Amino acid sequence: MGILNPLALAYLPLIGLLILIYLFRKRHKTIPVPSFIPWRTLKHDTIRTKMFLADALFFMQLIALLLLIFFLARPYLPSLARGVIGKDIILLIDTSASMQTLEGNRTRFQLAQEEALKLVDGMGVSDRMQIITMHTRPHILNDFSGNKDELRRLIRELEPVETGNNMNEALSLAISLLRHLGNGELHVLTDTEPSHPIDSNVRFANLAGSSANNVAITGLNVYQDMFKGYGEREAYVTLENFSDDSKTVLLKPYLNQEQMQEQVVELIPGEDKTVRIQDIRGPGLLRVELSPSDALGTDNRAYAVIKHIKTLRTLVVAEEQLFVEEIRKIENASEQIEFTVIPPSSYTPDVVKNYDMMIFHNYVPQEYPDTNALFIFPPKDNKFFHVKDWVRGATFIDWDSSNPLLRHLDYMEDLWIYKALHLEPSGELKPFIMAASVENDFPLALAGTVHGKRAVVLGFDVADFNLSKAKNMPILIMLLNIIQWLNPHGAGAYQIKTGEPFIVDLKDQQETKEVILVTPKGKTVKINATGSPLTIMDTHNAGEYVLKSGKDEVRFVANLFDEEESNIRPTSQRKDNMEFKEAVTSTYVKEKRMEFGRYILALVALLLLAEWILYCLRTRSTVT
Amino acid sequence: MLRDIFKPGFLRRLECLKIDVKRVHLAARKGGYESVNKKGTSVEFADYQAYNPGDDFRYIDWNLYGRLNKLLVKTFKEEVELSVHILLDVSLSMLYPESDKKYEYAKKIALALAYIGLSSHNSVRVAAINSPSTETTGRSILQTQFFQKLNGIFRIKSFLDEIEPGGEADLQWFLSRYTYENRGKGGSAIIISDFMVPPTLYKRGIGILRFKNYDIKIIQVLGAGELNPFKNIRSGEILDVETQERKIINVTNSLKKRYHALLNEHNQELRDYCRANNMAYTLARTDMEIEDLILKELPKIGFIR
Repeated sequence: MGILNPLALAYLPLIGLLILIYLFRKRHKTIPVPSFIPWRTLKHDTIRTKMFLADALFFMQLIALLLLIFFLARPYLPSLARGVIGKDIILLIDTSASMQTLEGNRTRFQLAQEEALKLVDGMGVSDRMQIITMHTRPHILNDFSGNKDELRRLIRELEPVETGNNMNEALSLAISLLRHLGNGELHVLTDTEPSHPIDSNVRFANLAGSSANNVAITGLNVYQDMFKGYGEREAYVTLENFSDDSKTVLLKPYLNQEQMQEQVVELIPGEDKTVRIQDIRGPGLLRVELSPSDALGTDNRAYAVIKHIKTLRTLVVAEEQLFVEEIRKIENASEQIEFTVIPPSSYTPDVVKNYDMMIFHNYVPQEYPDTNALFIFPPKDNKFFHVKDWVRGATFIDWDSSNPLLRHLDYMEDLWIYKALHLEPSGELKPFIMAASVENDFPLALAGTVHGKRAVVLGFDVADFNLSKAKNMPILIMLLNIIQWLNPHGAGAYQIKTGEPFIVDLKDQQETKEVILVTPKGKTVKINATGSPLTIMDTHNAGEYVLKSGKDEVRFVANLFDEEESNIRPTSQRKDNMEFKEAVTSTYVKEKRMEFGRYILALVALLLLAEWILYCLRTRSTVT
Repeated sequence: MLRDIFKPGFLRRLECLKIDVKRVHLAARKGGYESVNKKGTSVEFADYQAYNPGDDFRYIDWNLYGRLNKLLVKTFKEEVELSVHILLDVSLSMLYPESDKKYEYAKKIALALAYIGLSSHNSVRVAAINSPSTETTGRSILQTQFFQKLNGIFRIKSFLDEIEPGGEADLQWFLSRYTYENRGKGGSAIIISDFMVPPTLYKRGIGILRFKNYDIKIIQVLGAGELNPFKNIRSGEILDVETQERKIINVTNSLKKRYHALLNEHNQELRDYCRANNMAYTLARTDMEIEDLILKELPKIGFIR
């Protein structure tokens, strides 16, 4: 027997304290009474009469105290314990899209499940397993468990998804877990391979088989800006042949379940082709399918959302007739833009609610409009934008071509600005065009958000440019870009890759507590939306997703479009066992220390109870 | 002086009272102070009895002779002087519990009774019940002389004020000694004490008084602190102030019950002894107003009238 906490013996002087308490308690208060007659039958309380009478109560308390100190010292009984050290198995299962490839009459994923179940069957009584799935992200399914039934259930309930595979992240996670295990091994069930060598004890199971028969849709783009009518819209489908043979496939487009003109495409091994789809007659869901079917069906279909065409109602607040004439040229260029022109004197803040966006020329209202707005050549003494100086004669010197406001713009340096404003960036407004005068360079145009609404400020006057002339074409294009950017109906992409998050701003989201998501498989998911924007993470399947929030309904599509997943050809470099050494179940003998302090504590409690009972009995006996 | 203790109205009411006597007493001298049912020569009619030769024929009731044809003579009550012995316990136990102020209360009772006695022309003597070891004045018994006049009350008060309680009350020794020193001066003996002595002791003492044919009245003085001493006691060492005996106690409910039972038993035994021997008894609680005790309680039990 030994003790784990010898420091507890420092409490032994408490015994002295107990004795002192006994001595101290002898000094009773003296109560004079006239006579002992009413007290005459009271027995003398022999417990505490003398200065120190070590009676049973004292010894019981002393033993209780000693036992308590013994308990604090954590006594133990040494013994030799024999045990078994089992294996800790980490099972990493690939659930990405390529795992749906058919190998004979079974998919690679079904083969992986069988392999996983065999691993579970082979587990010893002391072995434990943790299952991790991997596709775009790794996901730990369970804690280490030796419950084979539970492990089998988890494996059988697994389903493959239609996403790409981020194998490196999943492997990093699994290997970091493996390094913390004393007797662990990692099994990876996948049809692909890591991008870098693995120096841990990992076993890769070869599930790729020999299938290489796959033609995939790797892209679907629809050109549908706000200036194009439905008839002008076009879709481009990119196909790629990953097989070893030439393939002839039939491309079948559908618009809202209605089949459009199908096309036959011939592809030699490794070739990719882009096919144009025309005559998209209305809004809705564009679905493209390939036939005949091949080993991987997931990439044989693709989806796109054809947006509604909505007239952009724009209020132009301007007085200068020359400007109005120029701006009307933009209206005439597109049927989807509708300008209403009023002078600044007629402007009231209430009028804003009837329009999708605003254009202010040489005027900034006192109250900021509650909508997206373009401010052209604002007056110097306005309330919201700081104009540092007037500049006479300037040229464009720098612009950001990647900015959506400046798409398709070149040769702007050829334009001469007669009068310009030196704007000062402020808050969320950042410069996107810089100009130069004889004196210095300065920001000429700003864009960003003001009070949560998009805003563009131009430090030159559009009225100075005749938009009909070819040399001023960049100004016209820039204005069209700005209008598209400010158009509240044109914002946002409605097409993502599977597994990517979909981020959307819902109008009523502040008031809506619950958002309903309908997945391509028809599954309805309730989402408690708080704040804006809303991020949808569960996009693991290809197809159309419908998001319902109050009266709003947003549709978006998810496509695989992952060449690595579509390339199902087995890689020649793959090794089945990369220096894998199977962990061995072993037995051990070690000294075991069985602490029995809790029994002592129970004994102390019993002893104190007995002491209390004895004390009560004695107290009662003093009057009998 | 007395007005420091008693209100003037109370004193006036005391003057209207008399100490009731149930026995025939021998008197020291004739004085017409108290009439007793003994054939005497007072004007207070007592009874008729048959005429015997030698009787004073002036007392023959001739009217009755005419109706009954029998010679009957009238007898009258004899007026004798009443001696009142007020015996006050001055043992140490009368000072405890201090909060009860038993001795102060007993002193007031003694003074009030002495005043009643003197007001009704009785001979009043006050004595302090002590023990042989008392060395207060060098005399074996502390007592006043007999007073018959009301001004004697001041001497009695001075006597009581000078006494400092102490020692034990040895009733047997004291009463034996007292009756010896007052032989031939029987009357009404009023014992004022807490009677916190064993019953055998007080019975022996009172028995001597009974043997000497005293009319005995008992006033037991107890306070609230003695009747229920557990208000501020949890545990401690009790000390008998007279015997200096000590005991350590732990107050429990059973102890409280036992204490009350024993005290009640002790008091009841005293009460029963008094009743059995035709002695007036009253328990004077110190938390009772002295006026209420004298004017209401004592007349109820025939102690005074």
